[in-house]
Amino acid sequence: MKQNKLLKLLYLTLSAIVVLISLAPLIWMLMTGFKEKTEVYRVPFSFFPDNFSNLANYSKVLTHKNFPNSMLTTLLGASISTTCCLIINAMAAYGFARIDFKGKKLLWAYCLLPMFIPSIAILIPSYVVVHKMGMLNTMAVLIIPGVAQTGHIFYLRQYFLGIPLSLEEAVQIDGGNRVQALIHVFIPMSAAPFVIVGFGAFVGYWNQYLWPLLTISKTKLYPIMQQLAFFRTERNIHYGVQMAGSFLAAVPPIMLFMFFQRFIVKGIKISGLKG
Amino acid sequence: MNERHITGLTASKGPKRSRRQLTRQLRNNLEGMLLVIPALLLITIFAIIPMIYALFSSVYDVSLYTGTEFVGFENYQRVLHDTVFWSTFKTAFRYMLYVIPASLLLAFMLANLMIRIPKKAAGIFKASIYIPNVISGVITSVIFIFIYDYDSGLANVLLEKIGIKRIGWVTDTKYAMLAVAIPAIWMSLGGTTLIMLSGLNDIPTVYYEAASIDGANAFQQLYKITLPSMRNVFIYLLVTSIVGSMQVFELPNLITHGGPLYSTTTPNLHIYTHFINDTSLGYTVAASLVIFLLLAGLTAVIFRLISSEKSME
Repeated sequence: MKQNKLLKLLYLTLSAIVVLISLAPLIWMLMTGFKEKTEVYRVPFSFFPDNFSNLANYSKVLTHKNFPNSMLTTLLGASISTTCCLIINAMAAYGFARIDFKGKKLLWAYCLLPMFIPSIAILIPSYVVVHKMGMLNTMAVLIIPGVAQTGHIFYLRQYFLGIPLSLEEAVQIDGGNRVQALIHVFIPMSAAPFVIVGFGAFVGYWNQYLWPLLTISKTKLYPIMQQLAFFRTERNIHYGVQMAGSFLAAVPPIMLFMFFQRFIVKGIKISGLKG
Repeated sequence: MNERHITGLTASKGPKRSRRQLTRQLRNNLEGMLLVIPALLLITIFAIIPMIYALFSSVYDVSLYTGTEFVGFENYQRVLHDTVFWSTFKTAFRYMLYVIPASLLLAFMLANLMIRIPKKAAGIFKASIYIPNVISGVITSVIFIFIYDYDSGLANVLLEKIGIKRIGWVTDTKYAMLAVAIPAIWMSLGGTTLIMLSGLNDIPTVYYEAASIDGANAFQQLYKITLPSMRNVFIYLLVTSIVGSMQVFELPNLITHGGPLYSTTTPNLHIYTHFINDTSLGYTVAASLVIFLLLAGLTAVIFRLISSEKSME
């Protein structure tokens, strides 16, 4: 019994160390965000800043000519993208899961095709497509190509198929139609997959870098990650300011994750089981 | 097909039954189409057409600025004879050797640790190690560029503390790949661990109980129960890691710029830089397609191996 307790303590200590190591780069980023330039380069080195209320770096980021604007437009773009992504993919998933229409099998097979196309193979051709459509240097080029995603449709359809048919029948016996069944049965029951798909869409938009690098060339229009990568090469931007900027850019996904943590961790389990 | 069941309920009585069913079917066709068409249209424009265009432009000399000319397999020949292209494969392979075994081993150990701690602590553990997964490659790169700073970076400061000389992390060909691999492992470890954990949780506990009654020790249990039961999880992770590794971009682009001396130029980075510097698309697209074919082949071989081993059991 005593040995068991000791072992448990050992495991807990180990876990605490692992958690600290995995968060260390982020803590280091946070600490440096409060440091003056001289403090960053000072010898001997200190992990903690002299003054936790030194917000000079943050004010430099927030008064930068493009950075704050870029945060706001990316937030807007990510929200639009998430909403569209949820609506379009859920519609398709519902259609494929619940409605018996002509040509469904064939269209479903067609819908699955992109699963076999790796993004690297179509990166440049996709650029050509948006170039020909005159979409370069617009917000649309960042949003529209990413809206419909086979992975999301597949995942939502799988979930919808698992919702018992009897619940919808009950709504229909009570004289309700399909829309009512959707509102009273489907949407309330699908909170978990909606959160997972929505989170994926938001973070995917927020974190994108390669695609905007190809399609957005005006500094003013850069989404946040491109802005951050560009910003750090500007003059007078020392590590302290870079870390303050990185911290601000990391906040939205981390906050969202914390908020929906339960759903997301569970969702990973499910996607793991599929393999 | 499930819908027929529901319609049967609403339209089962009365003489006009068949006509009602017919209009119902027409309505289903219309509704179904309306629901799936937006997604299918977008998929067509942004995935299917680019793929067809890729196949087309790889055999044509396409340029965004001049005319188009049929060149057959010339682009592919250029790619296949390009030593730089093949060296990016070697780079990708080295990257995989740095990242994949370490990730899988660490994740396996962490998942095993996680099932041995109380549930509440495990909840905090899971959430904390997953946080790096939602951080973008750009932020990770910016943080690690600072960590690798020769004079004031955390990495060299820690090395000095334990009595090792400072390292030029991103400027020395010996360490550049390691400098890219560490943040790559850091970013993905949480997700990999959680997938491993779900695999571990799937193993029935009776196996272990029976084994300990028979007197099997911890190592025997690991070799005879845990590892064989986890084989599919390992293979799934292996395949996704290989595919992911071939497409890595942000870290080598920002941390090492593909250097020094191209030592961290991965295939994706090569394609990107080639595209930026060369306006004719043929080579770039042909190179992407060759990578795609090799990846697909590799994945198919791995899956073939799994299914054949399964059938032997």
